[in-house]
Amino acid sequence: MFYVLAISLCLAVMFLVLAGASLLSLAGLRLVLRMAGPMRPGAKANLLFAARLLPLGLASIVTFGLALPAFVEFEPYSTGEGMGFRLLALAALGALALAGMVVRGINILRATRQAQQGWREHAYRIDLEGIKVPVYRVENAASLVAVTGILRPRIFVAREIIGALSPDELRAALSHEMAHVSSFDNLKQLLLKITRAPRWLKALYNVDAEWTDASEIAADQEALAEGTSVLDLSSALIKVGRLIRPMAGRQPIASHLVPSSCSSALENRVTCLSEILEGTGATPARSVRSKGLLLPLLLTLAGYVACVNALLPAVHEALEFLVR
Amino acid sequence: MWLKKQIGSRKATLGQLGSLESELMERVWHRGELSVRDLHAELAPRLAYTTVMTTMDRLYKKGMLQRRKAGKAFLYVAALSEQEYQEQLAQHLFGMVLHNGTNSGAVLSNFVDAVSDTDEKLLEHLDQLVKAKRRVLRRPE
Repeated sequence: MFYVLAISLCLAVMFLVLAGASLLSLAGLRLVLRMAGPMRPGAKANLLFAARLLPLGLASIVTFGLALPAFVEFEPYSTGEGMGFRLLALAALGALALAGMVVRGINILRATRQAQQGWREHAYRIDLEGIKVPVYRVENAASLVAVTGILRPRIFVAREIIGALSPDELRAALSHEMAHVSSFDNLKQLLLKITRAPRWLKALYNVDAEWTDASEIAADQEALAEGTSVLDLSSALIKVGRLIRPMAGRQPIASHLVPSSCSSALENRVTCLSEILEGTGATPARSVRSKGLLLPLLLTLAGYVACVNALLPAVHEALEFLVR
Repeated sequence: MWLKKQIGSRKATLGQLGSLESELMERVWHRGELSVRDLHAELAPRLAYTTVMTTMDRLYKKGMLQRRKAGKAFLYVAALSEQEYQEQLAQHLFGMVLHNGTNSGAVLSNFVDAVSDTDEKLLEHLDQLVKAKRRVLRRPE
Protein backbone atom coordinates (compact mmCIF):
# COMPACT_ATOMS: atom_id res chain seq x y z
CA MET A 1 0.00 0.00 0.00
CA PHE A 2 2.90 2.31 0.81
CA TYR A 3 4.26 2.09 -2.74
CA VAL A 4 0.83 2.31 -4.40
CA LEU A 5 0.10 5.42 -2.36
CA ALA A 6 3.52 6.88 -3.20
CA ILE A 7 3.06 6.33 -6.94
CA SER A 8 -0.51 7.70 -6.86
CA LEU A 9 0.60 10.75 -4.93
CA CYS A 10 3.48 11.39 -7.33
CA LEU A 11 1.15 11.16 -10.34
CA ALA A 12 -1.47 13.38 -8.70
CA VAL A 13 1.07 16.02 -7.65
CA MET A 14 2.68 15.93 -11.08
CA PHE A 15 -0.67 16.49 -12.77
CA LEU A 16 -1.69 19.29 -10.40
CA VAL A 17 1.58 21.20 -10.78
CA LEU A 18 1.77 20.59 -14.52
CA ALA A 19 -1.80 21.79 -15.12
CA GLY A 20 -1.49 24.74 -12.74
CA ALA A 21 1.89 25.86 -14.07
CA SER A 22 0.74 25.48 -17.68
CA LEU A 23 -2.30 27.68 -17.06
CA LEU A 24 -0.23 30.28 -15.23
CA SER A 25 2.44 30.23 -17.93
CA LEU A 26 -0.14 31.12 -20.58
CA ALA A 27 -0.20 34.64 -19.20
CA GLY A 28 3.53 34.69 -18.48
CA LEU A 29 4.46 33.61 -21.99
CA ARG A 30 3.11 36.82 -23.50
CA LEU A 31 5.57 38.68 -21.28
CA VAL A 32 8.36 36.26 -22.19
CA LEU A 33 7.70 36.77 -25.90
CA ARG A 34 7.82 40.55 -25.41
CA MET A 35 11.04 40.28 -23.37
CA ALA A 36 12.63 37.94 -25.89
CA GLY A 37 12.03 40.30 -28.82
CA PRO A 38 15.23 42.36 -28.65
CA MET A 39 17.46 39.55 -27.33
CA ARG A 40 20.27 37.80 -29.20
CA PRO A 41 18.86 34.80 -31.14
CA GLY A 42 20.77 32.24 -29.02
CA ALA A 43 19.64 33.76 -25.73
CA LYS A 44 16.11 34.18 -27.10
CA ALA A 45 15.97 30.50 -28.08
CA ASN A 46 17.20 29.51 -24.61
CA LEU A 47 14.65 31.73 -22.86
CA LEU A 48 11.76 30.45 -24.98
CA PHE A 49 12.82 26.85 -24.45
CA ALA A 50 13.08 27.38 -20.69
CA ALA A 51 9.69 29.10 -20.59
CA ARG A 52 8.04 26.26 -22.53
CA LEU A 53 9.59 23.54 -20.42
CA LEU A 54 9.01 25.39 -17.13
CA PRO A 55 5.70 23.66 -16.26
CA LEU A 56 7.19 20.19 -16.80
CA GLY A 57 10.39 21.12 -14.97
CA LEU A 58 8.43 22.58 -12.07
CA ALA A 59 6.17 19.52 -11.94
CA SER A 60 9.21 17.22 -11.86
CA ILE A 61 10.95 19.26 -9.14
CA VAL A 62 7.86 19.45 -6.92
CA THR A 63 7.04 15.76 -7.45
CA PHE A 64 10.46 14.18 -7.10
CA GLY A 65 12.18 16.91 -5.12
CA LEU A 66 9.50 17.70 -2.54
CA ALA A 67 6.43 15.42 -2.59
CA LEU A 68 8.28 12.11 -2.78
CA PRO A 69 10.92 12.97 -0.13
CA ALA A 70 8.18 14.34 2.17
CA PHE A 71 6.15 11.17 1.77
CA VAL A 72 9.13 8.89 2.40
CA GLU A 73 10.27 10.99 5.37
CA PHE A 74 6.99 11.38 7.23
CA GLU A 75 4.68 8.62 6.10
CA PRO A 76 5.00 5.39 8.14
CA TYR A 77 5.80 2.37 5.99
CA SER A 78 2.87 0.47 7.48
CA THR A 79 0.44 3.21 6.55
CA GLY A 80 -3.21 2.33 6.75
CA GLU A 81 -4.38 5.29 4.74
CA GLY A 82 -6.66 4.50 1.83
CA MET A 83 -7.06 6.44 -1.38
CA GLY A 84 -10.00 8.75 -1.82
CA PHE A 85 -11.75 9.56 -5.07
CA ARG A 86 -9.92 12.89 -5.35
CA LEU A 87 -6.49 11.25 -5.23
CA LEU A 88 -7.53 8.46 -7.58
CA ALA A 89 -8.93 10.88 -10.13
CA LEU A 90 -5.87 13.14 -10.04
CA ALA A 91 -3.51 10.13 -10.21
CA ALA A 92 -5.42 8.80 -13.23
CA LEU A 93 -5.14 12.17 -14.98
CA GLY A 94 -1.43 12.29 -14.11
CA ALA A 95 -0.92 8.78 -15.50
CA LEU A 96 -2.80 9.78 -18.65
CA ALA A 97 -0.65 12.87 -19.16
CA LEU A 98 2.54 10.90 -18.55
CA ALA A 99 1.47 8.06 -20.86
CA GLY A 100 0.59 10.61 -23.55
CA MET A 101 4.08 12.10 -23.37
CA VAL A 102 5.73 8.67 -23.42
CA VAL A 103 3.70 7.51 -26.44
CA ARG A 104 4.38 10.76 -28.25
CA GLY A 105 8.10 10.43 -27.49
CA ILE A 106 8.19 6.85 -28.79
CA ASN A 107 6.38 7.87 -31.99
CA ILE A 108 8.80 10.72 -32.59
CA LEU A 109 11.86 8.56 -31.99
CA ARG A 110 10.45 5.84 -34.24
CA ALA A 111 9.76 8.36 -37.02
CA THR A 112 13.30 9.72 -36.65
CA ARG A 113 14.80 6.23 -36.83
CA GLN A 114 12.64 5.39 -39.83
CA ALA A 115 13.75 8.53 -41.64
CA GLN A 116 17.40 7.84 -40.90
CA GLN A 117 17.10 4.25 -42.08
CA GLY A 118 15.26 5.32 -45.24
CA TRP A 119 17.99 7.76 -46.16
CA ARG A 120 20.88 5.51 -45.13
CA GLU A 121 19.71 2.72 -47.42
CA HIS A 122 20.68 4.87 -50.38
CA ALA A 123 23.48 6.85 -48.79
CA TYR A 124 27.26 6.81 -48.72
CA ARG A 125 29.29 8.18 -45.89
CA ILE A 126 31.57 11.01 -46.90
CA ASP A 127 34.47 12.51 -44.97
CA LEU A 128 34.59 16.23 -44.58
CA GLU A 129 37.36 17.91 -42.68
CA GLY A 130 36.25 19.73 -39.55
CA ILE A 131 32.79 18.11 -39.38
CA LYS A 132 32.72 15.95 -36.29
CA VAL A 133 29.50 14.04 -36.92
CA PRO A 134 29.00 11.44 -39.69
CA VAL A 135 27.91 12.98 -42.97
CA TYR A 136 26.04 10.92 -45.56
CA ARG A 137 25.48 11.68 -49.23
CA VAL A 138 21.94 10.57 -50.02
CA GLU A 139 21.54 9.49 -53.62
CA ASN A 140 17.86 10.04 -54.16
CA ALA A 141 16.42 12.50 -51.64
CA ALA A 142 16.10 15.79 -53.42
CA SER A 143 16.99 19.04 -51.62
CA LEU A 144 17.88 17.41 -48.34
CA VAL A 145 20.34 18.99 -45.91
CA ALA A 146 19.44 17.99 -42.40
CA VAL A 147 20.82 16.77 -39.15
CA THR A 148 18.81 14.08 -37.40
CA GLY A 149 19.27 12.05 -34.26
CA ILE A 150 19.61 13.05 -30.66
CA LEU A 151 22.36 11.07 -29.00
CA ARG A 152 24.11 10.14 -32.24
CA PRO A 153 23.46 12.95 -34.71
CA ARG A 154 24.02 12.36 -38.40
CA ILE A 155 23.97 14.83 -41.24
CA PHE A 156 22.29 13.85 -44.51
CA VAL A 157 22.97 15.79 -47.69
CA ALA A 158 21.35 15.02 -51.02
CA ARG A 159 23.65 14.34 -53.97
CA GLU A 160 21.77 17.11 -55.79
CA ILE A 161 22.82 19.62 -53.11
CA ILE A 162 26.45 18.48 -53.12
CA GLY A 163 26.47 18.99 -56.88
CA ALA A 164 24.87 22.42 -56.68
CA LEU A 165 26.95 23.96 -53.89
CA SER A 166 30.61 24.92 -54.07
CA PRO A 167 32.85 23.32 -51.41
CA ASP A 168 32.80 26.55 -49.36
CA GLU A 169 29.01 26.82 -49.60
CA LEU A 170 28.62 23.19 -48.59
CA ARG A 171 30.91 23.77 -45.61
CA ALA A 172 28.81 26.82 -44.67
CA ALA A 173 25.59 24.79 -44.78
CA LEU A 174 27.17 22.05 -42.70
CA SER A 175 28.47 24.62 -40.19
CA HIS A 176 24.87 25.69 -39.71
CA GLU A 177 23.89 22.07 -39.06
CA MET A 178 26.84 21.62 -36.69
CA ALA A 179 25.62 24.64 -34.73
CA HIS A 180 22.33 22.79 -34.24
CA VAL A 181 24.28 19.76 -33.02
CA SER A 182 26.37 21.73 -30.53
CA SER A 183 23.25 23.50 -29.19
CA PHE A 184 21.45 20.15 -28.72
CA ASP A 185 18.60 21.56 -30.80
CA ASN A 186 17.28 18.13 -31.74
CA LEU A 187 17.00 17.15 -28.07
CA LYS A 188 15.24 20.45 -27.36
CA GLN A 189 12.99 19.85 -30.36
CA LEU A 190 12.13 16.40 -29.02
CA LEU A 191 11.19 17.82 -25.61
CA LEU A 192 9.12 20.57 -27.20
CA LYS A 193 7.33 18.04 -29.39
CA ILE A 194 6.67 15.70 -26.49
CA THR A 195 5.14 18.53 -24.47
CA ARG A 196 3.51 20.17 -27.47
CA ALA A 197 0.40 22.15 -26.67
CA PRO A 198 -2.78 21.70 -28.69
CA ARG A 199 -3.22 24.15 -31.57
CA TRP A 200 -6.03 25.97 -29.83
CA LEU A 201 -3.63 27.05 -27.08
CA LYS A 202 -2.13 29.64 -29.39
CA ALA A 203 0.18 31.30 -26.87
CA LEU A 204 2.01 28.03 -26.19
CA TYR A 205 1.92 27.00 -29.82
CA ASN A 206 3.41 30.30 -30.96
CA VAL A 207 6.30 29.91 -28.54
CA ASP A 208 7.31 26.73 -30.40
CA ALA A 209 7.30 28.63 -33.69
CA GLU A 210 9.31 31.48 -32.14
CA TRP A 211 11.81 28.95 -30.75
CA THR A 212 12.29 27.34 -34.18
CA ASP A 213 12.81 30.76 -35.70
CA ALA A 214 15.30 31.85 -33.03
CA SER A 215 17.23 28.56 -33.10
CA GLU A 216 17.62 28.75 -36.89
CA ILE A 217 18.96 32.31 -36.75
CA ALA A 218 21.16 31.33 -33.78
CA ALA A 219 22.60 28.45 -35.85
CA ASP A 220 23.42 30.89 -38.66
CA GLN A 221 25.04 33.28 -36.21
CA GLU A 222 27.00 30.49 -34.55
CA ALA A 223 28.25 29.36 -37.97
CA LEU A 224 29.31 32.94 -38.79
CA ALA A 225 30.95 33.35 -35.38
CA GLU A 226 32.92 30.16 -36.05
CA GLY A 227 34.40 31.74 -39.15
CA THR A 228 31.96 30.85 -41.94
CA SER A 229 31.79 33.53 -44.61
CA VAL A 230 28.48 35.38 -44.74
CA LEU A 231 28.71 35.23 -48.53
CA ASP A 232 29.08 31.45 -48.57
CA LEU A 233 26.27 30.95 -46.07
CA SER A 234 24.00 33.30 -48.03
CA SER A 235 24.83 31.59 -51.32
CA ALA A 236 24.14 28.18 -49.81
CA LEU A 237 20.81 29.41 -48.48
CA ILE A 238 19.86 30.85 -51.87
CA LYS A 239 20.80 27.71 -53.80
CA VAL A 240 19.14 25.25 -51.42
CA GLY A 241 16.07 27.50 -51.20
CA ARG A 242 15.79 27.55 -54.99
CA LEU A 243 16.16 23.78 -55.18
CA ILE A 244 13.44 23.31 -52.59
CA ARG A 245 11.07 25.82 -54.17
CA PRO A 246 9.95 23.65 -57.14
CA MET A 247 9.07 20.86 -54.72
CA ALA A 248 6.58 23.01 -52.86
CA GLY A 249 3.76 22.25 -55.23
CA ARG A 250 4.40 18.52 -55.26
CA GLN A 251 4.28 17.68 -51.62
CA PRO A 252 3.21 19.15 -48.33
CA ILE A 253 6.24 20.91 -47.01
CA ALA A 254 5.95 22.01 -43.46
CA SER A 255 8.59 22.57 -40.90
CA HIS A 256 8.62 20.54 -37.76
CA LEU A 257 7.39 23.21 -35.39
CA VAL A 258 6.49 26.31 -37.36
CA PRO A 259 2.78 26.44 -38.12
CA SER A 260 2.02 27.32 -41.72
CA SER A 261 0.30 30.54 -40.73
CA CYS A 262 3.47 31.98 -39.18
CA SER A 263 6.11 33.83 -41.11
CA SER A 264 8.81 31.36 -42.05
CA ALA A 265 12.11 31.01 -40.24
CA LEU A 266 13.79 31.45 -43.62
CA GLU A 267 12.35 34.95 -43.99
CA ASN A 268 14.00 36.10 -40.77
CA ARG A 269 17.27 34.34 -41.57
CA VAL A 270 17.45 35.99 -44.98
CA THR A 271 16.67 39.38 -43.41
CA CYS A 272 19.49 38.91 -40.86
CA LEU A 273 22.01 37.90 -43.54
CA SER A 274 20.88 40.78 -45.78
CA GLU A 275 21.44 43.24 -42.93
CA ILE A 276 24.98 41.92 -42.41
CA LEU A 277 25.72 42.19 -46.14
CA GLU A 278 24.24 45.70 -46.30
CA GLY A 279 26.32 46.71 -43.30
CA THR A 280 23.34 47.52 -41.07
CA GLY A 281 23.76 44.34 -39.01
CA ALA A 282 26.89 43.25 -37.19
CA THR A 283 28.69 40.02 -37.99
CA PRO A 284 28.47 37.93 -34.82
CA ALA A 285 31.74 37.86 -32.92
CA ARG A 286 33.37 34.59 -31.98
CA SER A 287 31.79 34.08 -28.61
CA VAL A 288 31.56 31.59 -25.85
CA ARG A 289 28.33 29.61 -26.07
CA SER A 290 25.49 31.13 -24.12
CA LYS A 291 25.27 29.89 -20.56
CA GLY A 292 21.69 31.13 -20.39
CA LEU A 293 20.23 27.89 -19.05
CA LEU A 294 23.06 27.06 -16.68
CA LEU A 295 22.55 29.97 -14.28
CA PRO A 296 18.83 29.38 -13.61
CA LEU A 297 19.56 25.67 -13.12
CA LEU A 298 22.30 26.39 -10.58
CA LEU A 299 20.11 28.93 -8.75
CA THR A 300 17.22 26.44 -8.61
CA LEU A 301 19.52 23.75 -7.24
CA ALA A 302 20.97 26.08 -4.61
CA GLY A 303 17.49 27.24 -3.57
CA TYR A 304 16.30 23.65 -3.34
CA VAL A 305 19.22 22.53 -1.16
CA ALA A 306 18.73 25.55 1.12
CA CYS A 307 14.98 25.13 1.61
CA VAL A 308 14.19 21.46 1.23
CA ASN A 309 14.37 20.50 4.92
CA ALA A 310 12.21 23.42 6.01
CA LEU A 311 9.63 22.73 3.32
CA LEU A 312 9.13 19.00 3.76
CA PRO A 313 6.76 19.13 6.79
CA ALA A 314 4.51 21.67 5.07
CA VAL A 315 4.56 19.59 1.88
CA HIS A 316 3.56 16.51 3.86
CA GLU A 317 0.62 18.42 5.35
CA ALA A 318 -0.50 19.36 1.85
CA LEU A 319 -0.19 15.73 0.76
CA GLU A 320 -2.36 14.65 3.67
CA PHE A 321 -5.06 17.00 2.40
CA LEU A 322 -4.77 15.36 -1.01
CA VAL A 323 -5.11 11.85 0.44
CA ARG A 324 -8.10 12.63 2.64
CA MET B 1 -6.08 -18.29 -76.41
CA TRP B 2 -8.12 -16.32 -74.04
CA LEU B 3 -6.09 -13.35 -72.95
CA LYS B 4 -7.19 -10.79 -70.53
CA LYS B 5 -5.11 -7.83 -69.62
CA GLN B 6 -5.50 -7.06 -66.01
CA ILE B 7 -3.93 -3.83 -64.92
CA GLY B 8 -3.51 -3.21 -61.21
CA SER B 9 -5.58 -0.16 -60.53
CA ARG B 10 -4.22 0.19 -57.04
CA LYS B 11 -1.83 3.01 -56.38
CA ALA B 12 1.65 2.00 -55.26
CA THR B 13 1.76 2.30 -51.50
CA LEU B 14 5.40 3.42 -51.47
CA GLY B 15 6.01 1.72 -48.20
CA GLN B 16 9.39 0.13 -47.82
CA LEU B 17 9.45 -3.43 -49.08
CA GLY B 18 10.41 -6.48 -47.10
CA SER B 19 13.60 -8.34 -48.03
CA LEU B 20 11.84 -11.06 -50.06
CA GLU B 21 9.60 -8.49 -51.75
CA SER B 22 12.67 -6.42 -52.64
CA GLU B 23 14.44 -9.47 -54.06
CA LEU B 24 11.46 -10.38 -56.24
CA MET B 25 11.00 -6.78 -57.38
CA GLU B 26 14.67 -6.62 -58.39
CA ARG B 27 14.23 -9.77 -60.49
CA VAL B 28 11.08 -8.36 -62.12
CA TRP B 29 12.86 -5.08 -62.87
CA HIS B 30 15.77 -7.03 -64.34
CA ARG B 31 13.81 -9.60 -66.34
CA GLY B 32 10.69 -7.72 -67.39
CA GLU B 33 7.42 -9.60 -67.76
CA LEU B 34 7.45 -13.04 -66.17
CA SER B 35 5.25 -15.62 -64.51
CA VAL B 36 5.45 -17.11 -61.04
CA ARG B 37 6.73 -20.33 -62.64
CA ASP B 38 9.63 -18.46 -64.33
CA LEU B 39 10.53 -16.76 -61.09
CA HIS B 40 10.26 -19.95 -59.06
CA ALA B 41 12.58 -21.73 -61.51
CA GLU B 42 15.27 -19.22 -60.53
CA LEU B 43 14.61 -19.38 -56.82
CA ALA B 44 13.93 -23.09 -56.24
CA PRO B 45 14.63 -24.92 -54.04
CA ARG B 46 15.33 -22.02 -51.66
CA LEU B 47 11.75 -20.77 -51.95
CA ALA B 48 8.56 -22.76 -52.33
CA TYR B 49 6.30 -22.10 -55.32
CA THR B 50 3.50 -20.94 -53.02
CA THR B 51 5.82 -18.48 -51.25
CA VAL B 52 6.76 -16.88 -54.56
CA MET B 53 3.11 -16.83 -55.68
CA THR B 54 1.90 -15.26 -52.41
CA THR B 55 4.64 -12.65 -52.41
CA MET B 56 3.94 -11.72 -56.05
CA ASP B 57 0.25 -11.43 -55.25
CA ARG B 58 1.09 -9.20 -52.27
CA LEU B 59 3.26 -6.99 -54.47
CA TYR B 60 0.39 -6.76 -56.97
CA LYS B 61 -1.98 -5.76 -54.17
CA LYS B 62 0.52 -3.13 -53.00
CA GLY B 63 0.45 -1.68 -56.51
CA MET B 64 4.09 -2.52 -57.19
CA LEU B 65 3.20 -4.99 -59.99
CA GLN B 66 0.71 -5.14 -62.82
CA ARG B 67 -0.49 -8.46 -64.14
CA ARG B 68 -2.36 -9.99 -67.03
CA LYS B 69 -3.72 -13.45 -67.48
CA ALA B 70 -2.04 -15.67 -70.06
CA GLY B 71 -3.76 -19.05 -70.17
CA LYS B 72 -4.07 -20.30 -66.63
CA ALA B 73 -1.22 -18.23 -65.23
CA PHE B 74 -0.63 -14.57 -64.53
CA LEU B 75 2.21 -12.67 -66.14
CA TYR B 76 3.61 -9.96 -63.91
CA VAL B 77 5.36 -6.74 -64.83
CA ALA B 78 6.62 -3.87 -62.63
CA ALA B 79 4.18 -0.96 -62.28
CA LEU B 80 7.08 1.46 -61.77
CA SER B 81 10.64 1.35 -63.03
CA GLU B 82 13.26 0.85 -60.35
CA GLN B 83 14.37 4.47 -60.68
CA GLU B 84 10.80 5.77 -60.45
CA TYR B 85 10.21 3.66 -57.35
CA GLN B 86 13.40 4.88 -55.65
CA GLU B 87 12.60 8.50 -56.47
CA GLN B 88 9.03 8.24 -55.26
CA LEU B 89 10.09 6.42 -52.12
CA ALA B 90 12.62 9.12 -51.34
CA GLN B 91 10.01 11.83 -51.94
CA HIS B 92 7.59 9.92 -49.77
CA LEU B 93 10.08 9.60 -46.91
CA PHE B 94 11.08 13.25 -47.23
CA GLY B 95 7.47 14.39 -47.22
CA MET B 96 6.62 12.05 -44.37
CA VAL B 97 9.47 13.39 -42.24
CA LEU B 98 8.65 17.01 -42.96
CA HIS B 99 4.96 16.57 -42.53
CA ASN B 100 3.83 18.68 -39.63
CA GLY B 101 2.03 15.94 -37.74
CA THR B 102 1.02 16.66 -34.20
CA ASN B 103 3.14 13.95 -32.69
CA SER B 104 4.64 11.77 -35.37
CA GLY B 105 7.18 14.06 -37.02
CA ALA B 106 10.79 13.05 -36.79
CA VAL B 107 13.32 15.10 -34.91
CA LEU B 108 15.50 16.86 -37.44
CA SER B 109 16.94 20.27 -38.20
CA ASN B 110 16.78 21.19 -41.85
CA PHE B 111 19.03 23.76 -43.45
CA VAL B 112 15.96 24.99 -45.35
CA ASP B 113 12.58 23.37 -44.93
CA ALA B 114 10.06 25.60 -46.65
CA VAL B 115 10.15 28.45 -49.14
CA SER B 116 7.17 30.74 -49.45
CA ASP B 117 6.55 33.37 -52.14
CA THR B 118 7.80 36.05 -49.75
CA ASP B 119 10.92 34.00 -49.03
CA GLU B 120 11.57 33.68 -52.75
CA LYS B 121 11.55 37.45 -53.20
CA LEU B 122 13.83 37.88 -50.20
CA LEU B 123 16.18 35.21 -51.55
CA GLU B 124 16.30 37.13 -54.84
CA HIS B 125 17.23 40.30 -52.94
CA LEU B 126 19.87 38.38 -50.95
CA ASP B 127 21.27 36.97 -54.20
CA GLN B 128 21.70 40.48 -55.58
CA LEU B 129 23.47 41.55 -52.41
CA VAL B 130 25.81 38.55 -52.55
CA LYS B 131 26.64 39.19 -56.20
CA ALA B 132 27.29 42.88 -55.52
CA LYS B 133 29.49 42.03 -52.55
CA ARG B 134 31.42 39.44 -54.53
CA ARG B 135 31.95 41.96 -57.31
CA VAL B 136 33.35 44.40 -54.76
CA LEU B 137 35.62 41.75 -53.33
CA ARG B 138 36.47 40.56 -56.86
CA ARG B 139 35.94 37.05 -55.72
CA PRO B 140 34.96 34.53 -58.39
CA GLU B 141 31.67 32.77 -57.75
